[in-house]
Amino acid sequence: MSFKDTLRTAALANAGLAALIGTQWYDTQLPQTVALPPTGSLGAVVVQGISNPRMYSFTQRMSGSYARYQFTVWGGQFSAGAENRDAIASALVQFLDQFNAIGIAGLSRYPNFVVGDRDSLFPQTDGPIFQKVVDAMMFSEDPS
Amino acid sequence: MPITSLLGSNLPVTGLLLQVGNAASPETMNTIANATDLTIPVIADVVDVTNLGDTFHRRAATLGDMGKITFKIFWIPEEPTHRNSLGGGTVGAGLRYLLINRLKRDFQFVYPDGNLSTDAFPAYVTMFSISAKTGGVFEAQVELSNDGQPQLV
Repeated sequence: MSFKDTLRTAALANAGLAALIGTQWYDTQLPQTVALPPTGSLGAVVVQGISNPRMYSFTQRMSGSYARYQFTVWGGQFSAGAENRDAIASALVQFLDQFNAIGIAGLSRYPNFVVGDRDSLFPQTDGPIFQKVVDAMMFSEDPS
Repeated sequence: MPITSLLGSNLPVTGLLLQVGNAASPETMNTIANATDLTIPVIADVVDVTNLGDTFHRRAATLGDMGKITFKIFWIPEEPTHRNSLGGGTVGAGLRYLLINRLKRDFQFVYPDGNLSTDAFPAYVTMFSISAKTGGVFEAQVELSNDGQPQLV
Protein backbone atom coordinates (compact mmCIF):
# COMPACT_ATOMS: atom_id res chain seq x y z
CA MET A 1 0.00 0.00 0.00
CA SER A 2 1.42 3.37 -0.93
CA PHE A 3 1.97 6.08 1.63
CA LYS A 4 -1.00 8.08 0.29
CA ASP A 5 -3.25 5.03 0.55
CA THR A 6 -2.16 4.50 4.14
CA LEU A 7 -2.74 8.15 4.88
CA ARG A 8 -6.23 8.14 3.33
CA THR A 9 -7.27 4.96 5.12
CA ALA A 10 -6.13 6.34 8.45
CA ALA A 11 -7.74 9.73 7.85
CA LEU A 12 -11.11 8.24 6.98
CA ALA A 13 -10.91 6.03 10.07
CA ASN A 14 -10.29 9.08 12.24
CA ALA A 15 -13.57 10.01 13.96
CA GLY A 16 -12.84 13.73 14.17
CA LEU A 17 -12.05 14.06 10.48
CA ALA A 18 -14.71 11.65 9.23
CA ALA A 19 -17.44 13.65 10.98
CA LEU A 20 -16.41 16.74 9.01
CA ILE A 21 -15.47 15.36 5.58
CA GLY A 22 -17.06 11.90 5.38
CA THR A 23 -15.05 10.17 2.66
CA GLN A 24 -14.21 13.35 0.75
CA TRP A 25 -10.42 12.92 0.84
CA TYR A 26 -8.80 13.28 -2.58
CA ASP A 27 -5.44 13.06 -4.28
CA THR A 28 -4.11 16.26 -5.90
CA GLN A 29 -7.40 17.49 -7.36
CA LEU A 30 -10.92 18.09 -6.06
CA PRO A 31 -13.48 16.36 -8.31
CA GLN A 32 -16.07 18.70 -9.84
CA THR A 33 -18.92 16.59 -8.48
CA VAL A 34 -18.16 17.26 -4.82
CA ALA A 35 -20.89 19.32 -3.16
CA LEU A 36 -19.56 21.62 -0.46
CA PRO A 37 -21.62 23.61 2.07
CA PRO A 38 -24.13 25.12 1.69
CA THR A 39 -25.08 22.75 -1.18
CA GLY A 40 -23.69 19.70 0.64
CA SER A 41 -23.07 19.21 4.33
CA LEU A 42 -19.44 18.07 4.38
CA GLY A 43 -16.10 19.67 3.51
CA ALA A 44 -13.23 18.02 1.67
CA VAL A 45 -9.45 17.58 1.88
CA VAL A 46 -7.13 17.35 -1.13
CA VAL A 47 -3.62 15.98 -0.63
CA GLN A 48 -0.69 16.84 -2.84
CA GLY A 49 2.88 15.63 -2.51
CA ILE A 50 5.28 18.58 -2.64
CA SER A 51 8.70 17.05 -2.13
CA ASN A 52 10.33 14.00 -0.68
CA PRO A 53 14.08 14.36 -0.36
CA ARG A 54 15.70 11.06 0.59
CA MET A 55 18.57 10.57 3.01
CA TYR A 56 21.68 8.71 1.96
CA SER A 57 24.57 7.09 3.76
CA PHE A 58 27.75 6.17 1.87
CA THR A 59 26.43 2.80 0.84
CA GLN A 60 22.66 3.00 0.66
CA ARG A 61 19.51 5.04 0.50
CA MET A 62 17.91 5.18 3.93
CA SER A 63 14.44 3.70 4.02
CA GLY A 64 12.96 6.58 6.00
CA SER A 65 12.40 10.11 4.78
CA TYR A 66 10.62 13.33 5.63
CA ALA A 67 8.14 14.07 2.87
CA ARG A 68 6.32 17.37 2.50
CA TYR A 69 2.61 17.16 1.79
CA GLN A 70 0.12 19.93 1.20
CA PHE A 71 -3.41 19.50 2.48
CA THR A 72 -5.92 21.83 0.87
CA VAL A 73 -8.97 22.02 3.11
CA TRP A 74 -12.19 22.96 1.33
CA GLY A 75 -14.61 24.34 3.93
CA GLY A 76 -17.50 25.74 1.89
CA GLN A 77 -19.11 29.09 1.22
CA PHE A 78 -20.29 31.83 3.57
CA SER A 79 -19.67 32.00 7.30
CA ALA A 80 -20.60 28.37 7.84
CA GLY A 81 -18.02 27.40 5.24
CA ALA A 82 -15.35 29.43 7.01
CA GLU A 83 -16.15 27.76 10.32
CA ASN A 84 -16.17 24.38 8.64
CA ARG A 85 -12.75 25.08 7.17
CA ASP A 86 -11.29 25.92 10.58
CA ALA A 87 -12.85 22.83 12.17
CA ILE A 88 -11.45 20.52 9.47
CA ALA A 89 -7.99 22.09 9.69
CA SER A 90 -8.00 21.65 13.46
CA ALA A 91 -9.12 18.03 13.16
CA LEU A 92 -6.42 17.46 10.54
CA VAL A 93 -3.67 18.74 12.81
CA GLN A 94 -4.90 16.50 15.62
CA PHE A 95 -5.05 13.55 13.22
CA LEU A 96 -1.43 14.14 12.16
CA ASP A 97 -0.30 14.04 15.80
CA GLN A 98 -1.26 10.39 16.01
CA PHE A 99 -0.87 9.20 12.40
CA ASN A 100 1.61 6.33 12.46
CA ALA A 101 3.51 6.05 9.17
CA ILE A 102 6.61 4.51 10.73
CA GLY A 103 5.31 1.20 12.04
CA ILE A 104 6.24 1.86 15.68
CA ALA A 105 3.23 1.52 17.94
CA GLY A 106 2.55 3.26 21.22
CA LEU A 107 4.35 6.58 20.78
CA SER A 108 2.90 9.62 22.54
CA ARG A 109 3.00 11.46 19.22
CA TYR A 110 4.24 10.73 15.73
CA PRO A 111 6.78 12.54 13.54
CA ASN A 112 4.39 14.56 11.39
CA PHE A 113 5.06 18.26 11.72
CA VAL A 114 2.78 21.02 10.50
CA VAL A 115 5.05 23.67 8.97
CA GLY A 116 2.49 25.86 7.25
CA ASP A 117 -1.12 26.90 7.83
CA ARG A 118 -2.43 29.49 5.40
CA ASP A 119 -5.92 30.78 4.58
CA SER A 120 -7.01 30.77 0.98
CA LEU A 121 -10.07 31.41 -1.19
CA PHE A 122 -11.57 29.79 -4.25
CA PRO A 123 -13.54 32.57 -6.00
CA GLN A 124 -17.20 32.07 -6.91
CA THR A 125 -19.67 34.63 -8.28
CA ASP A 126 -21.89 34.42 -5.19
CA GLY A 127 -19.11 34.34 -2.55
CA PRO A 128 -15.86 32.45 -2.24
CA ILE A 129 -15.25 28.93 -0.99
CA PHE A 130 -13.10 29.21 2.12
CA GLN A 131 -9.94 27.13 2.08
CA LYS A 132 -7.03 26.39 4.37
CA VAL A 133 -3.67 25.24 3.02
CA VAL A 134 -1.86 23.10 5.59
CA ASP A 135 1.72 21.99 4.88
CA ALA A 136 3.21 19.10 6.83
CA MET A 137 6.54 17.29 6.95
CA MET A 138 5.75 13.64 7.50
CA PHE A 139 8.27 10.94 8.33
CA SER A 140 7.61 7.53 6.90
CA GLU A 141 9.37 4.33 5.96
CA ASP A 142 9.78 4.19 2.18
CA PRO A 143 6.79 6.26 1.05
CA SER A 144 5.77 5.88 -2.55
CA MET B 1 50.87 16.21 -18.09
CA PRO B 2 47.16 16.61 -18.88
CA ILE B 3 45.20 19.31 -17.10
CA THR B 4 42.63 16.70 -16.02
CA SER B 5 43.80 13.53 -14.28
CA LEU B 6 44.00 10.55 -16.61
CA LEU B 7 42.21 8.57 -13.88
CA GLY B 8 39.15 10.82 -13.94
CA SER B 9 38.08 14.36 -13.29
CA ASN B 10 36.57 13.44 -9.91
CA LEU B 11 35.35 10.51 -7.83
CA PRO B 12 31.81 10.39 -6.40
CA VAL B 13 31.63 9.38 -2.74
CA THR B 14 28.83 6.84 -3.24
CA GLY B 15 29.94 3.34 -2.28
CA LEU B 16 32.62 4.26 0.25
CA LEU B 17 32.91 1.50 2.87
CA LEU B 18 33.81 2.20 6.51
CA GLN B 19 34.82 -1.10 8.00
CA VAL B 20 35.88 -2.37 11.40
CA GLY B 21 37.64 -5.65 12.11
CA ASN B 22 36.43 -8.28 14.56
CA ALA B 23 39.91 -9.03 15.99
CA ALA B 24 39.60 -12.69 15.00
CA SER B 25 42.12 -14.67 13.01
CA PRO B 26 41.67 -14.48 10.11
CA GLU B 27 40.09 -11.10 10.64
CA THR B 28 36.73 -10.25 9.16
CA MET B 29 36.04 -6.63 8.30
CA ASN B 30 32.44 -5.53 8.83
CA THR B 31 30.92 -2.49 7.18
CA ILE B 32 29.58 0.07 9.62
CA ALA B 33 25.94 0.68 8.73
CA ASN B 34 24.33 4.03 7.94
CA ALA B 35 27.59 5.97 7.86
CA THR B 36 28.11 9.36 6.23
CA ASP B 37 30.17 12.57 6.48
CA LEU B 38 33.67 11.14 6.93
CA THR B 39 36.69 13.26 7.79
CA ILE B 40 40.18 11.72 7.77
CA PRO B 41 42.92 14.18 8.64
CA VAL B 42 46.56 13.25 8.35
CA ILE B 43 48.74 15.79 10.06
CA ALA B 44 52.30 16.19 11.27
CA ASP B 45 53.60 17.85 14.39
CA VAL B 46 55.68 20.87 13.55
CA VAL B 47 58.63 22.16 15.59
CA ASP B 48 59.75 25.74 15.16
CA VAL B 49 63.52 25.68 14.54
CA THR B 50 64.04 29.34 13.78
CA ASN B 51 67.46 30.53 14.89
CA LEU B 52 68.78 33.95 15.71
CA GLY B 53 70.09 34.58 12.22
CA ASP B 54 66.78 33.91 10.44
CA THR B 55 64.39 36.48 9.06
CA PHE B 56 61.74 33.88 8.21
CA HIS B 57 60.45 30.98 10.34
CA ARG B 58 62.10 27.61 9.95
CA ARG B 59 60.02 24.58 10.76
CA ALA B 60 60.69 20.87 11.01
CA ALA B 61 57.92 18.30 10.61
CA THR B 62 58.30 15.54 13.19
CA LEU B 63 55.70 12.98 14.23
CA GLY B 64 52.85 12.07 11.94
CA ASP B 65 49.33 11.76 13.29
CA MET B 66 45.94 10.84 11.93
CA GLY B 67 44.32 13.29 14.32
CA LYS B 68 40.63 12.94 15.00
CA ILE B 69 38.99 10.72 12.41
CA THR B 70 35.29 11.46 12.49
CA PHE B 71 32.14 10.31 10.77
CA LYS B 72 28.43 10.47 11.35
CA ILE B 73 25.98 7.61 11.48
CA PHE B 74 22.21 7.56 11.30
CA TRP B 75 21.99 5.83 14.65
CA ILE B 76 19.83 2.75 15.19
CA PRO B 77 20.04 1.67 18.86
CA GLU B 78 20.12 -2.08 18.28
CA GLU B 79 22.08 -2.13 15.00
CA PRO B 80 24.92 -4.68 15.49
CA THR B 81 27.61 -2.29 14.26
CA HIS B 82 26.33 0.57 16.47
CA ARG B 83 25.21 -0.94 19.73
CA ASN B 84 26.87 -1.52 23.09
CA SER B 85 27.13 -5.27 22.67
CA LEU B 86 29.55 -7.92 21.61
CA GLY B 87 27.09 -8.65 18.86
CA GLY B 88 26.96 -11.98 17.21
CA GLY B 89 27.37 -13.69 13.89
CA THR B 90 30.07 -12.07 11.82
CA VAL B 91 29.93 -8.74 13.65
CA GLY B 92 32.69 -8.45 16.23
CA ALA B 93 31.17 -5.68 18.33
CA GLY B 94 29.23 -2.47 18.09
CA LEU B 95 31.00 0.92 18.12
CA ARG B 96 29.63 1.80 21.56
CA TYR B 97 30.95 -1.48 22.94
CA LEU B 98 34.39 -0.77 21.51
CA LEU B 99 34.39 2.64 23.17
CA ILE B 100 33.08 1.58 26.56
CA ASN B 101 35.52 -1.34 26.77
CA ARG B 102 38.48 0.60 25.31
CA LEU B 103 39.07 -2.01 22.63
CA LYS B 104 41.52 -1.30 19.83
CA ARG B 105 40.40 -2.57 16.46
CA ASP B 106 41.61 -2.49 12.87
CA PHE B 107 39.63 -0.04 10.78
CA GLN B 108 39.73 0.37 7.04
CA PHE B 109 38.07 2.72 4.59
CA VAL B 110 37.64 1.24 1.13
CA TYR B 111 37.35 3.93 -1.51
CA PRO B 112 34.93 3.49 -4.43
CA ASP B 113 37.52 3.88 -7.19
CA GLY B 114 37.12 0.37 -8.57
CA ASN B 115 40.58 -0.66 -7.39
CA LEU B 116 39.71 -1.19 -3.72
CA SER B 117 42.05 1.63 -2.68
CA THR B 118 42.10 1.37 1.09
CA ASP B 119 43.24 3.36 4.10
CA ALA B 120 43.86 1.01 7.03
CA PHE B 121 44.85 1.75 10.60
CA PRO B 122 44.39 0.47 14.15
CA ALA B 123 42.30 2.79 16.30
CA TYR B 124 40.19 3.23 19.38
CA VAL B 125 36.66 4.58 19.29
CA THR B 126 37.03 7.69 21.46
CA MET B 127 33.70 9.40 21.02
CA PHE B 128 30.15 8.30 20.30
CA SER B 129 27.95 11.35 20.60
CA ILE B 130 24.26 10.90 19.89
CA SER B 131 22.16 13.84 18.81
CA ALA B 132 18.38 14.00 18.73
CA LYS B 133 16.36 16.91 17.45
CA THR B 134 12.62 17.29 17.12
CA GLY B 135 11.80 16.94 13.46
CA GLY B 136 14.99 15.05 12.71
CA VAL B 137 16.35 11.52 12.91
CA PHE B 138 18.80 10.12 15.43
CA GLU B 139 22.40 10.74 14.51
CA ALA B 140 25.66 9.94 16.24
CA GLN B 141 29.04 11.55 15.75
CA VAL B 142 31.81 8.99 16.03
CA GLU B 143 35.49 9.76 16.58
CA LEU B 144 38.37 7.34 16.08
CA SER B 145 41.85 7.86 17.48
CA ASN B 146 44.62 6.14 15.61
CA ASP B 147 47.22 4.08 17.47
CA GLY B 148 50.32 3.32 15.47
CA GLN B 149 51.36 3.19 11.85
CA PRO B 150 48.53 3.52 9.32
CA GLN B 151 48.65 2.16 5.81
CA LEU B 152 47.42 4.92 3.57
CA VAL B 153 46.66 5.08 -0.13
